[in-house]
Formats: sequence, C-alpha cells, structure tokens
Amino acid sequence: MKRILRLNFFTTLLAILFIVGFSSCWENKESAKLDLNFSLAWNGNNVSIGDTVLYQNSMPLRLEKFKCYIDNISLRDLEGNWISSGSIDLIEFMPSNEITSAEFGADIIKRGKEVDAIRFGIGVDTQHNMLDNAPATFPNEHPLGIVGGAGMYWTWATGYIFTKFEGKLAVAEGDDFTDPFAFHTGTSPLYREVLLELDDEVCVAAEELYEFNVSIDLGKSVASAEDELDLLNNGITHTLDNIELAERYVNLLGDAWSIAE
Amino acid sequence: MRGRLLNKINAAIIISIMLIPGCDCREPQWEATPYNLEIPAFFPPMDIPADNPLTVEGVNLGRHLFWEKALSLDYTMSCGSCHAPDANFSDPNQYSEGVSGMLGDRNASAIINMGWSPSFAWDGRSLTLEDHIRDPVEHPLEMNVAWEVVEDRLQNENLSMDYPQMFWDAFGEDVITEDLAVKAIAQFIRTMISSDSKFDKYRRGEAQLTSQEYMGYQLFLKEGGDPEVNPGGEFGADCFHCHGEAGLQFSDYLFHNNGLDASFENDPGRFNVTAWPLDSGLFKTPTLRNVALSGPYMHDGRFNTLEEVVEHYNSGGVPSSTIDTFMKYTTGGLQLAPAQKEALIAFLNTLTDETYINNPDFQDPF
Repeated sequence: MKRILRLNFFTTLLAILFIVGFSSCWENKESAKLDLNFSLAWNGNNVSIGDTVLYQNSMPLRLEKFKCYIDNISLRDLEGNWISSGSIDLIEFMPSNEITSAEFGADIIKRGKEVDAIRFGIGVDTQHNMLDNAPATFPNEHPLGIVGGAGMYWTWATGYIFTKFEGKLAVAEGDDFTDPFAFHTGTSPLYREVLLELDDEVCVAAEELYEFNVSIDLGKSVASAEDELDLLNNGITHTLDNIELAERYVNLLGDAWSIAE
Repeated sequence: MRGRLLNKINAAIIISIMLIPGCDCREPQWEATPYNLEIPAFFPPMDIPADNPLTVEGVNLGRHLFWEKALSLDYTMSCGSCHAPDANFSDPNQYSEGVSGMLGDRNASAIINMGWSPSFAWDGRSLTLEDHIRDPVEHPLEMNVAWEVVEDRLQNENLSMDYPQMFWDAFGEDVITEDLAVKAIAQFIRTMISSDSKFDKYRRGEAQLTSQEYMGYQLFLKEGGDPEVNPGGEFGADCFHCHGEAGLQFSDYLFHNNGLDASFENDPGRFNVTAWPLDSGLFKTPTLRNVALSGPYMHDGRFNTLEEVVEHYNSGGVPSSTIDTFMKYTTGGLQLAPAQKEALIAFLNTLTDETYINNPDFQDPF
C-alpha cells in the first residue's frame, strides 16, 4: 500500500514536472514569423513605380507613388478563428518591392496550427488613428512615428493617411505627363480589410518563417467590372473633400490584392 | 608572537597608504555630466545616437567649435559665418561665400530643430548629423581645410581655448580627432531647439491667434484650388501636405519638386543621391519654423520674400516631368485672393521664435 502511494506520488510529481517543463518550453520559443512580399501589377502584369502603363488601353499613365499601411496581419485556423499579430507597417515602393513581417507568439501557435487564410487591414485602426499627440507619441522610426510615417499624417482631427496612390497621365502617346491623379485616403470609415484565401492549408509552427508573395494590382484599384474611376476628370481625392471618390477607390483597392505565385 | 604579527600587518598597511598618493600609474578619472535635454510639449522624442550622448561638456565644446574660425583654411570662417543667429542660423545671402571667395551653389539651410531630421542637406545625402557636419570643413567652396589640419590646430596651436582640455572634459580622450569634433558639434546642434513661437504658445493654450492669423492657419490646412476645376479643392493654400504640423516640425522630411523649373540640368537635387529618374528636381522640405527669418528661400535662394514664395505656389508652379501632384500647375494655381495671401503670411509669421535666435547658449562665445 505504502509502495503504491509512493509510486503515485512520484508519478504525479513527474507529470507536474512534465507539464511545467513543457509549457515553459513554449515560453522560451521564438515566435512564428510571417513575411508578406508585396509587388505591384497593372492588369495582371508586373510593374514598378516609375513605369508607364496604359490607362483605358490608350492613355499613357506613369505610376509615381504607392504607399499604404498594412495593419494587424492575421491567420485563420481551420475552426475559423483568427489569430492576430497586432502588426502595423507602412509599405512604399521606391521602386523596389516591399516586405512586411508579422510575428505570432509561440504561446499562441504552440505545436503548430493549420491555417487557411491571411487577413490584414489597409489603414490604421481607430484606436491608433485617433491617439492624442500622434505621431509624436510613437518612436520616430515606428511606422506611425514622425520619421517612419513621414508624410502619412494629416491632423489630429483626421489622423493618418491610410493609402497614397499618385501618378500622371499623358492624354496621348508621346505627350508629356501633365494630368495628375492622386488618391489619399484615410479616416476610420475607409479602413478596409483584405482576405486572402490560401490554396493549400499551411501548418504554422513556432520558430518557423513563412513567406507569401502578394500582388497589388493597381489597374484593378481604378477599374473593375463593378466600378471604373475617371482619372482624367475626377482623379484627385484627399478623402474629406471628395469622400465619394475616396470610398469608391478604397472599395476597388480592397479587391486588388491576391496571393501571387 | 601574536603581537609581533599584528605589528607587521599594521606596518604594511601604513606603508601601503603612504605609497598610494605617490603612485603615478593610475588612469586619470573622467566623467562627463549628462545634459538634460528638455523635449518641448507636442514634440516627438529625439533620437540621439548611442555613441554620442549629450553631455554638458560636449555641448559646450561643440558650441565653441561651431564658432571656431580655426576650422577654416585661413582662420576667417566658422560654421556660424553661414549660419547666423539673426537669420535663423542660415545665410541671408542667396549663396554663401567660402574662404576662397567662391560662392556655393545652394542656399545655406537653417539650423533649427535638426535633432529630429532623418536626413540632411537639400538632397538628403547625409543620414546623420555627425556625417553632415564633416562636409563643410573640407568643401572647397566652404571652409576648405583638411580635417587633419584642423585636428593639428586644435591639438597643438595656441588658440583662445584650451581645446585639449575641453576634449578631455567632453570625451575623456587626449588625442583630438575629426570624429570627436563632429560629435561635439552635433551635440551642440541637437540642443538648438525652437519651441517658443506664438504658434507654440497658441498650441499650449498660452496665446491667441488674431483673426487674420487664424484665417491663415485654416488656409494652411486646407486643400488648394477651386473644386470646380480641381476635384477636392477647398480654396485653401495646401501647405500642410509637405509642411504638416505633425510633431510641430512643419516638414514631412521628404523630397518634392515644387515646380520651380522645367528642367534640372543645373541641379538635379535628390537624383544626385538616388539616381532614380523620379527624384530629378526634388529637394528636401525645409521646416517652416522661423521661416520669416530664413530668407532667401528655396534650395537656390531665388525668392527673397515670403510674398514671392506665396505667389509662386499661388501660380501653380512650372510644369515638369516630376512636378509634385499637388502643385496646381494645370488648373491655374491656388487662386488665393490678396487678403488670403496676407493671412497666410500672417500665420507664417506666428512661427517666428525670437527666443530661439537670441538664446545666449547658441551665440558666438568668442
């Protein structure tokens, strides 16, 4: 009897030690890292800032700037739950492609999770967008800081510029690029989310790096089957001054992202 | 027996104590005094390099070096020669005259709140203040003297200050080097903070803007142009795109072509650094702090007055391949009425900070 008790005691102790050791093991693990490698396209063809493309199949258009905030990259597990990273980054193509990273804590991922979709916001969430004394509140190099987010803040009343897309049109081939277009969008109602379904489920585990190529089709951000913007005659918005155009643009932009090969 | 041993120990201790003051082999102790840099209300934190923390001794040395004429070939120029206090620590001349009598090719930038800037010079070629400070000393159109010569002068010549002692006090180093000199000047420049303009006081709730100044402020924050011809226009002055008040710096620290020229053979600006065609004719946005004192304006000092500057933007600028999207060059400019232009300038004058330019800590100590 005494021997059995002693055995039980040691078994329990071993089990406790195992559980404690196992959980603290995860605490010491590095996070899982997700890299999204963004590139630009125009109606399916890879492009870079500085390139000239054809608008409405006839009008030369020079791509001059594309910047946007990528907010809170998240992964969906097979039960449909979203695992958030809380990331925020500003991507800008000058002219090279951009990589943004998100980290998922090892305590969340643990032994590995099957995921089947990626989601992120285009913009800055309301809480951060309306912080007192932003961007001075953040460290200077932070994407929301005065250097890291240079040129991406309006005022305390309107917050951050979520996206910038600028360029110029030439009315005919051989003409100078004289007609500008610019979409500067912001404010919480124009925050959009992008959902990218993965072709195959991926098992995400701590200490591993996962990379996905994401294409942003700027052609689709100005024209789709549902809507088409008139860049020549109504191609400038700073959001509040032309909210209708800003809303149409962010709706199109939200559908312009895809997982690339 | 025990008493004899104690006596021997006591004797050894006494002899040791007597020998200590006579020992010459110890390193002299060096310790600089941390400088308490106060960050003004609404300003962002200042990033100070870990290898160049601010100290009272370093800032003092930097101030003396900033005004030291031994940093020029013929002992006639200091940094302060082209960065005069009453001109917002810039040069009131279009181009600065160097020791050789030759003129530079860009207007000297104002030194104000540079501790927050992520790049320096009109084309942003320097990424640290320390690196930026190296240039003018050796530049043939500026002070035109090799740093090795400056090091030797500061170390060995009988100048008005005991620089070897000051460098020791600041850095604990006996040998004066270029690196230490630029570090000291950078420390001094990081203390040159303007935060006491009328607009600062307004933001702090300590002053009121006049109705004209407030009207100018609102114009500053509004989109430019007639909405009938400029979608999104609000008949504003459109200044905030590049001179935003984020962190009260009045600069986005980015590079823009604000429509000065149709071509850029004379000065391609940012293109010189990046070699990217879309950077041709782009120059760094200067801060508007103390702008009323900083003339002449633009990278080449082509405008003498704020009225000329406002008129330039009001006209929409000169079209070119890289002109900024927000210049209203295709639609007749901002079309501000005379009273609006006056209001805008009245607002710009609220950014004047006399406390800054008269701060005794920044003046010539010689």
